Amino acid sequence: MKRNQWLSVLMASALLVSISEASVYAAEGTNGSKPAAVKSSAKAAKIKEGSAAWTINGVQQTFKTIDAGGYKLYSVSQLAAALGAGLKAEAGGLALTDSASVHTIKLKAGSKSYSIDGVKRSFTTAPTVYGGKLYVELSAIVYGLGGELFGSPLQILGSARPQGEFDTIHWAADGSLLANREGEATEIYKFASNPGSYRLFSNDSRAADFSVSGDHRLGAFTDETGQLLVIDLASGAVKPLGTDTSVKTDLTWSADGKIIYFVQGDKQEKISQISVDTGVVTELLADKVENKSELRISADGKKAVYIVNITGTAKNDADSTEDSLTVDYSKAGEQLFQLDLSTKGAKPAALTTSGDNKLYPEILVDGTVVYLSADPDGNAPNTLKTLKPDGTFADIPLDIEVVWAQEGAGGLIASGTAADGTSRIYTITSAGASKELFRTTQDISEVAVSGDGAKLGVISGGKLLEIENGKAVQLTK
Amino acid sequence: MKLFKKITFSALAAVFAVTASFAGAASAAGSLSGKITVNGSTALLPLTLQAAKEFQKMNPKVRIAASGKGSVTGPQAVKKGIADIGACDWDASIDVPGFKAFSGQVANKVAVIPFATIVNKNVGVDNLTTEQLRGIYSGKITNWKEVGGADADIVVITRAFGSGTRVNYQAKALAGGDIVKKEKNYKETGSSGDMKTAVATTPNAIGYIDLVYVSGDVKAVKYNGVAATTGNVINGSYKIWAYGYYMTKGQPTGAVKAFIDYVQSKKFQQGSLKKLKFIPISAMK
Repeated sequence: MKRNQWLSVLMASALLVSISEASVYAAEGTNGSKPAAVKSSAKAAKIKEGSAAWTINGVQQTFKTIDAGGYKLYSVSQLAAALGAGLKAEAGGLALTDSASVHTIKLKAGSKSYSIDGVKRSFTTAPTVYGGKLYVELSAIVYGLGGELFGSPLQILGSARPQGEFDTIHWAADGSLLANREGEATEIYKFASNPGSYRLFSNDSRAADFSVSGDHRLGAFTDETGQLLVIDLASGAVKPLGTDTSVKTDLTWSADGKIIYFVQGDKQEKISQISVDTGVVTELLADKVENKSELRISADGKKAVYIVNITGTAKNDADSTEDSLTVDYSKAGEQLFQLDLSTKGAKPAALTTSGDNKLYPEILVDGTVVYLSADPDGNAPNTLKTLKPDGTFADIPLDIEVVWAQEGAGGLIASGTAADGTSRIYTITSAGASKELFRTTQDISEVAVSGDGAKLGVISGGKLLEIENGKAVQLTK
Repeated sequence: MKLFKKITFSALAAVFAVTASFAGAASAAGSLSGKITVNGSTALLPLTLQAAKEFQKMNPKVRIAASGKGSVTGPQAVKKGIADIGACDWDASIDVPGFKAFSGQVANKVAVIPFATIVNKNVGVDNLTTEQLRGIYSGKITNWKEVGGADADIVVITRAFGSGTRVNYQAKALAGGDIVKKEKNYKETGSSGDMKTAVATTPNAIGYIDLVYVSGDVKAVKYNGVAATTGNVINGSYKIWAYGYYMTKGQPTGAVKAFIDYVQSKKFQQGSLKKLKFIPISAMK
């Protein structure tokens, strides 16, 4: 925790009431029973009882407190119960152990010296017995047991949020968020909405990224052999799908979850599908046009849109002499194509011919194709363009330079940077009306839309945020 | 869905619940723009295009235009100033058999490329030794029965001069042996795709190709008893492989450097690069 956060917490619990002496010795049971032995020389008249309300693991709770030595001390038994920690008397003192049995705090009433996991520490104010109960410094106990606390508003997490840089976020059907922690080994964590509530979901490096089914119950990915695999986003179980080992990229689920479409081939020259039930691969397009990507399938499964990255043309003589070499990049770049999947043997149709960069194509319910258009010469801001079924192009007016877009359950979502430097996320209706969902002065590197479209998962500065109704909760630190 | 924007982030202070109006330091989106041109190895072209797609999501204003015409044209294009990056299946900053070093160029390792000896599916031979391959490509062995196969003329398919696959195959599979042009039963191809098609459609043909291109329409044969697999490359038992390089005129800078950094990043090397059946450079000890 940053120093200013500590100060914030301490300021929140500090009082100007002082206690002259606190030579108290006590041991208290976990159930709040009377201590086995109590020796007290405290001047009880100078101790002031009180209470403090905190939200602990998302639940509002009021703690008994006393003001001692200028600080507010908290009932250790009440605190242990709220944190789910074990509390037992031993060797003339107390031992608190967190619910996962990872951290242990050993302390004695009246002694500023205590230990966390065997490492000696010092309280500012010694644990104090008052009214037969032991009171302790809040922050030392919370952090010592591996939790976190925040000063404004007053919140305690029984378990600390995981620390590190996170990326590659996906929503699961149960409303949890999956995210990878960057590092040498693959660590995919699963986060509940309540900060501090998370678990390691998978270490499978093959599943570091995957395409999520429409119901958010399954993810699909390939391994280095080209084998397609499916991961259960509830259990983490992985099973192979089919036996085909050709190169597969741009995996895309059908709306009903029964088919996975993909770009196939070592030169990404085909579009194929695999049945999730049978594992049978069916070729949909093999037009020998290489470098297909960004495959999207319409909700009714009748239309595919994809990008072809057209390469430059290099020419030379039979001896590969340097003088003879020429390269023409004038036609190089991305172009959008559309394929009618409802008509067998249909030929793909080019949708664009312009020289702008094209990213994030999406197919809206009415058949409109949306994509991000970026000017490689840097003369124009990135915009979202629509291509109606009648062939007309238009820009979606937004006050941001768009960097990402995706069609979700709640409609089209776009993210970008406004002129004032803020990062903003908008939802856009089919009529083109936009509504701001979130704004932050931080940069946004990833966005994922929940299955019902009500929540966003966002990576900002490597930290994972969950956003609902414009409010962000930071799930990692 | 990832945006891959550049990150400048200030901690959310003590508050982990922030509202839409939270104020703090501003940050910029992916600010790179401009055009990066890549020419050279056809073997590395799928890798380049996949990386380009992902890099553009970080930097939508960057255009990466790529082309393939054989490895030697990579450093040649860089030297001529008609490409920023020369994709090459060998380190073109040093002399290799048949090619002088391109002085002033820097070799940036981007992948490990395994190569395989392939034959038409009608060929009954499953394994060839170094000496047998040297005999076949030098023209001293002309019939499959001389290497344990059926009585049929061997049709030699090779890549044209300037191919990185050819350079590496000669150096590794043939142990420096020659590829001798013949009047008959001999064909040169201009790309990996053409090689695969030629071997697949020519009975009794033999050729060589990047392992990634091996599929069911051709047969990969063992080399000195060892199968051409990525596992055997990594464990050191299979010797026909090479690093793929991005050659640049001096140390790369700006958007070119950022792109090369992305291709060399753990995210790309352990992710898309492996799924395209290349081997990460970190896998080789």
